[in-house]
Amino acid sequence: MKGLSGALLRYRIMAWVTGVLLAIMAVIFLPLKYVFSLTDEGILATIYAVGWQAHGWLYILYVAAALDISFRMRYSVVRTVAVALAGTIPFASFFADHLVARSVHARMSAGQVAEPVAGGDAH
Amino acid sequence: MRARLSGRVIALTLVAVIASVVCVLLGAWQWGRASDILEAERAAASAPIPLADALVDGEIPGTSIGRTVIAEGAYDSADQLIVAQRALGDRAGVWVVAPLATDAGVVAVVRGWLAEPGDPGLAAPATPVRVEGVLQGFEDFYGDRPRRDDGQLVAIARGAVEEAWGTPVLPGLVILQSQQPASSPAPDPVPPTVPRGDVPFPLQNAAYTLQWFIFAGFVWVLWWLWLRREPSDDRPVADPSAADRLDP
Repeated sequence: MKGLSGALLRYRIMAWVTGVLLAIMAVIFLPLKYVFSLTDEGILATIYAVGWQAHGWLYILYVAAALDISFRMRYSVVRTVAVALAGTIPFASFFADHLVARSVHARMSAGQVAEPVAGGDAH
Repeated sequence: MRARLSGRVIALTLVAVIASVVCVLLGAWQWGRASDILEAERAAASAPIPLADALVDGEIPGTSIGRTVIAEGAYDSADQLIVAQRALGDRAGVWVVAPLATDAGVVAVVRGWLAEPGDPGLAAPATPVRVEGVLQGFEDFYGDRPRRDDGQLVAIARGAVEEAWGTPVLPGLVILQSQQPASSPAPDPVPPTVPRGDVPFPLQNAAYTLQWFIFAGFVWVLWWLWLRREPSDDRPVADPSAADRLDP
């Protein structure tokens, strides 16, 4: 159980960090660039470039955390991919985070020992 | 471990192959973008610009150092300076520095190398010329006595040059690479002593390249985790009511 809650915490942290950054980039910086053309030079240009760079690498960590929780929860392949892709769509990771957290809590409150017996899923 | 339905294994493997190939292709595309951007920026940076455009508020910004500049004007042959002990390759000799009066001001042009100060190439053309050369800084870092008793320079220090010519000069040296109309005989052009500035590497596209390759790896992690999982684990093993709630 401890492993599952740790994985959920890692996933939730990454979902929020990635999601907040992506929301800021999409809601504030995309209009700044494509509507107001304010990111061509200066500090805004730097922030714009660094922001997308950071999102790229944070998303890698998000996917790693998403794969981890998905396999601990034995999600289907399609569902796993959907959770991973949620980090690329603005605001989608908040919904993914909500649904994943709900399913983990449901399993925990069902009293089910979610952790597989050692080696139980590895052959 | 019960054998999975081989059809599903084949199907998922095919999907993984396609997905990872797409990721690798997208990574390769981003690498191509990075190369194109680098090439375009280098081409832009190596294109000659007018001398006046290389100056900002009368000073040379770091981005202009090492750039090829174009200047038009007339030499003053009588005011040329000799820079002592400048070898070209393994040939001992001197450099010739001439004042070129341009619209932007007087600029010191290193016309090139001569074996002896009295060689016939010394005479600068009397008619106006259009010169192309590499912009670099003065040699102001060689102590406080850059001019010898015989009048030759030890180093091309801005103060010494201005003193010799009796006029302010622009804050950079032009290392002559070509001249129109060409003069003959002429000093041999010398290579610039500053490295050409390079353009910043397009890190963003390079990072995207790497990230696409990592995603290709994730595809196979997903594939492997799925393959080694018990088929019965494909559905959540928690009690059915909890399992139902997993798919709202």
